[in-house]
Amino acid sequence: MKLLKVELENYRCHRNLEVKFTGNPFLITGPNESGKSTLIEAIHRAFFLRFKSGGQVVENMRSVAGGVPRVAITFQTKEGTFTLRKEFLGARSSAVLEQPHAERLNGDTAEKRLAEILGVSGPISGGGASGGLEKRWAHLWVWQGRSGLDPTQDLAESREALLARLQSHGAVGVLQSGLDRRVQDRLIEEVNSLLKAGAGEPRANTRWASLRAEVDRLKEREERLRQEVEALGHAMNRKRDADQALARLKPTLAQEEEALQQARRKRDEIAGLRQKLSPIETEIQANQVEIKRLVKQMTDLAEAESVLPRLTQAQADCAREQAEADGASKYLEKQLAVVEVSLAQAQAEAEHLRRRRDLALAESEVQRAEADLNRLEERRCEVAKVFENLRTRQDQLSALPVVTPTILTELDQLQDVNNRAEAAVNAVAAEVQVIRANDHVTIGGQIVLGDEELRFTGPFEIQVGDRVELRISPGGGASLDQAVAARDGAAAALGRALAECCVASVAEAREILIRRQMLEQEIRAEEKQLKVIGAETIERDRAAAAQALVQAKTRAEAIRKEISGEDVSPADDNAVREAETKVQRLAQERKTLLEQLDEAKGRLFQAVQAVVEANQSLRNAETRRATLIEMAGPADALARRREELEQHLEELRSQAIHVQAELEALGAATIEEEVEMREKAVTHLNEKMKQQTLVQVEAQTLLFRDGSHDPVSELAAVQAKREAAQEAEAQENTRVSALAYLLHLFQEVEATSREKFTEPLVERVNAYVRPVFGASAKVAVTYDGSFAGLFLDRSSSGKSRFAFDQLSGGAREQLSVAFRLAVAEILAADHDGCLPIVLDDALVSSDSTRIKQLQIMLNRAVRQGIQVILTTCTPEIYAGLGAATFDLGNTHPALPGNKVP
Amino acid sequence: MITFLHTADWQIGKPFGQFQDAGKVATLQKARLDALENLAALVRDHQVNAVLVCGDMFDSPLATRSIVCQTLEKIGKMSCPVYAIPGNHDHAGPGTVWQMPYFEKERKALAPNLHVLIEERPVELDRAILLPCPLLQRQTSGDPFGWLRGREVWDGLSANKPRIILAHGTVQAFGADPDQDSTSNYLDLEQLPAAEVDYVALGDWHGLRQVGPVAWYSGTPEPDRFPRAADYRAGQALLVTVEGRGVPPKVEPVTTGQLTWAQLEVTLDTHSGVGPLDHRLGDLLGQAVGKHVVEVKLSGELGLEAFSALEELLEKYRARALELRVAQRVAVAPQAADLAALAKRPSDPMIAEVATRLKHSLETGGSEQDRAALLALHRLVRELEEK
Repeated sequence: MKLLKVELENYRCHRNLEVKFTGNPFLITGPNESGKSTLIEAIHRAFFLRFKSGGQVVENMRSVAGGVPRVAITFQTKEGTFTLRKEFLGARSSAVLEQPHAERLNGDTAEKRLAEILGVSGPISGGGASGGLEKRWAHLWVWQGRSGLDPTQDLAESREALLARLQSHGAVGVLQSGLDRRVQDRLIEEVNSLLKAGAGEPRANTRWASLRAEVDRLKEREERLRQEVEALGHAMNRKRDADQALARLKPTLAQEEEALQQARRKRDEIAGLRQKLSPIETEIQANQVEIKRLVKQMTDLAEAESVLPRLTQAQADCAREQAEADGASKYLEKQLAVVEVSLAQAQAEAEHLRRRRDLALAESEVQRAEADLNRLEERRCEVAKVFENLRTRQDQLSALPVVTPTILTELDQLQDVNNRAEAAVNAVAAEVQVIRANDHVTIGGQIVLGDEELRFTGPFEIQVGDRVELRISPGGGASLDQAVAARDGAAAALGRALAECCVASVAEAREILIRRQMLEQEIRAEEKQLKVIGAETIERDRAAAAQALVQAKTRAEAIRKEISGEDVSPADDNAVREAETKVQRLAQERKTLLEQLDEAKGRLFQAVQAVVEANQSLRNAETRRATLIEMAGPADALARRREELEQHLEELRSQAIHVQAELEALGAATIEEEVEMREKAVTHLNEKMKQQTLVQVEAQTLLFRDGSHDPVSELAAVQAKREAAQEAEAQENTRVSALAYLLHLFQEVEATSREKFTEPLVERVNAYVRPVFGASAKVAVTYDGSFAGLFLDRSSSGKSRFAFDQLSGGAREQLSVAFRLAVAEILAADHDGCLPIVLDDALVSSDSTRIKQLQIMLNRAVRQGIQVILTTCTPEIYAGLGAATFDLGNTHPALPGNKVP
Repeated sequence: MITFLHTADWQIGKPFGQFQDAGKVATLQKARLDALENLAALVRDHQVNAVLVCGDMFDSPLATRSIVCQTLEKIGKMSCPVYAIPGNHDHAGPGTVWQMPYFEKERKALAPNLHVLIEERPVELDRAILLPCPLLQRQTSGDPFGWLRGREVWDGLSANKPRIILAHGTVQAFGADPDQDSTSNYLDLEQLPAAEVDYVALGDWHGLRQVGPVAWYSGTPEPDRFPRAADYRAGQALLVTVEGRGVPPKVEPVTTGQLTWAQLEVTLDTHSGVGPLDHRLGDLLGQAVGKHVVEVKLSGELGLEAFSALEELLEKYRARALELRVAQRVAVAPQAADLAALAKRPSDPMIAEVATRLKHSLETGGSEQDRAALLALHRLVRELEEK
């Protein structure tokens, strides 16, 4: 289908317009508001809006100049050339479709035929006209402002036609048929009703879930019954075992009891034999003790006799050592006596020399004490003199009135206030002078004769003669009174302050203060002097010196008395040291002699002790031998007695061995253990009998049944039921899984098909975009029942896919145009290989470079048979397109055959 | 001379747990009790002197009072003494039904003609001597005939009365017989002094069988399992007559059962479809309804269409048999036509694509899931296409 011509009358801004589409591409130009979009709209309305429409859509079509909006379109199909005329206005609306040499169609018949040619369901009318209208051929009619939007959104109305064409163009993907859809829907329905979403688990209340629950319930019941049956089985076994055990235990117990009786009898026999053996063993023991005692006595006697010679020899040795020690001791005593006399003499001489030296020292001390006392007396006189001066000055200070610097400052301030108050009074005072007077003048009650000057500090009256009487108030009001009051107050305050200080004036006070400060300075100097000469300690120091003198004199006198009658001349330290050295030497000699004497006496004492001990030992040994013989008798008698005892012992031992052999034969050593063991065995067997009897009774109790319930039979039934339920569950599982798997296959096929399905479309779009975006560019279109989503990938890797909305404005426009051209190319097959595509100022975001690229696309579309119609207000950028142009802004038609009002 | 009915393995109270339908279980259980009525009729009709029950009177050693009463009521209707030994199912171990007071009470009340032989000692009747070999536990590794080995047992018996051994167990070594109910309780017939014994009445095997010159298994009076061997015969008792000591017994099987347990093994193929199975089941069931317990073991392979038809066929026979269980090992072998019907559908491309994928998967081995999915797809398409 190809547009050949359009004529408009009274259509909005167009009173009368005819445009012939003389070339392809075809460019409609004109400035803004020149009616380019109106022209495009008019063609669209004529094609798709029912002629009998009304309402706002038609109102908007009307021209401001009035008249019926008329649109006539001439177009060509393989059936020939058609002319469509429509008038839109109420009762006069009409639609006519004409074809040369064919019947003219009117009204709805014309609309129906037109719809067939356009491949739409019918014209749009009614209230929703504008919404429906926009969708008509939306993929071909790119209204202003829509070029940047995802073009797949404009495929809603042409979806079916495009699908059909894609299939005919070799789309390898499959499209759902009605049955496909029903089967898939049924599968979805069945799987959803059977399985929980995504979990592969059965939904509640399905057969599978019920079977599962049944299996679980049966397993649980089976387990309970199994436990019950097992418990019964155990009880049966216990009962059987207990029966058998009791049958075994009874004879064993009887045997053990008999063996116990025998062991007890044997034990009694052994006890009798042991009674017989006991006295023999006692006698053997007594005999052995006696022999032992005899042997001891014999040993002791022999030992006592053997020590006597050794003790006698020791006694003689000790006596000799005593005599030697005695001689040595006596010699040392004589030596000591000589040394002690010499020492006493040397000590007396040294003592006399020390006293003579001490007397000389004491006399020198007396002289030093006397000198100290004299010096202190002089200092005492000086202190008394300074004290006298100090007291005089203190008396002078206390006689003066107390004036401090602070008091003087206060007085100065009061004086200053007083002076200022006085000055203020004087400033207000009035002075009156009579310069000349014919009459007598009385001023302030005082008659003034002339040339006399009076001064007033308060109101006063002036009388001149009898006829003139004046009252003068200095200051003109209360200020004189206030000044006078202030002066009086200040004078009174000053007077009070001076009286408190006992002075007559401030000058006197200042003089007194100076005098006081001088006296205080002198007093401080004298107090400092007293401290320097030690006035505080002078009396104490003097008394101490007098005391020291007395003590020195006393000590000298005492020493002198001690040595009276002897030489009292002074001795020096050397003489004293010599005498003391001699004394020390003699004392050392004496000490050595004393030590030697002590040692000699010690030896003598030990020798005496040894003699005493030796004597005692010898006496003891002799006494012991005598005692032993007296107690046990002589040694030969002891030997005879021992021999007799040993013979008797041998006889007793022989008897004992005989009895022991008998005991051994009876097993005496283990008889108690045997009896104990037998007793234990019997007890143990009795215990076991009791236990088994208990088990028997318990098992019997457990096994007792009233016949109401048979767990064995029930278990068998439940087991079989559980197995059957498990099998049924497995079958159901298989069935449901098969359905889920089948659904999965359907969904997989559907997904794959969608991709494959769009392949022809994608290839066509790629052919348009590659000259613009590069040879590796490719697009992707998603289809999930409707076309949704357009993507562009410009990389060779195919991994940089961008959704339409992610692209720049220019790229969006380019991709959108490419997509629309590809769709138009595919759909053109339904329209004799040609379809118009209208781009109403569609490239607003594209610069000149992009426009050039777009022109390549448009040229390709033209070559593919698409009729490309563009509108623009900037025709120069389409210069390279080589398009036929119609300029709405030019009063002269751009091309022959076109005309404008 | 003595005429007696040799029977065993009544297993009254058997739970038939593998049957999900409680009604069917009740039918099966009632059939076992009805078999006792048939025994009572035989006693009456053949003037039987005694009924010998060789073990497993009850299915459980802890049979409930209700089961006991139902059984004793039937025994009480038998107009002769009934002698029974415990078997492995109802052994006489401690705490078992035989020792419960309620059993003795009900026995006295309902079946005073019943004598339970729990001790290994001869029981001398007017016309014969019974030598019972009771089981006192479910499985014994000892020899139930052990007490009969000593010469003194035989020397003490009356010389002119027929001697009948009652025992329960297997006469073949472990695993040798498919009908063997238990793998222990081995009975060594060779060890018995042949000249001393006139008849050995055995229980445990549920099929009737002669296992020695005078030794027989009577089998169960009402079938309760699928045959495990080709010559398996159940649902009968043995009517035995022993003329005297040393005279060979006259043994005659008599029918007592009413239900048929049958197993069919049918191999299906894609060519014949389900036809062969239809024939086999038709032949087996005939016009009977509710009288057959059938297990069908199916193998071979079927196309998708035939597979769907199989379910319908089985449903038909399920309604007629008491129980029809199917061991299903039929492989789904989608046929060219099946696959073409699914995979070559230009009008339904998704179904075609899914079917093609499944087909490829099956051609390279495939899994159960693939087969099940293909079947499900076939079912859905058929169902939704019809709409």
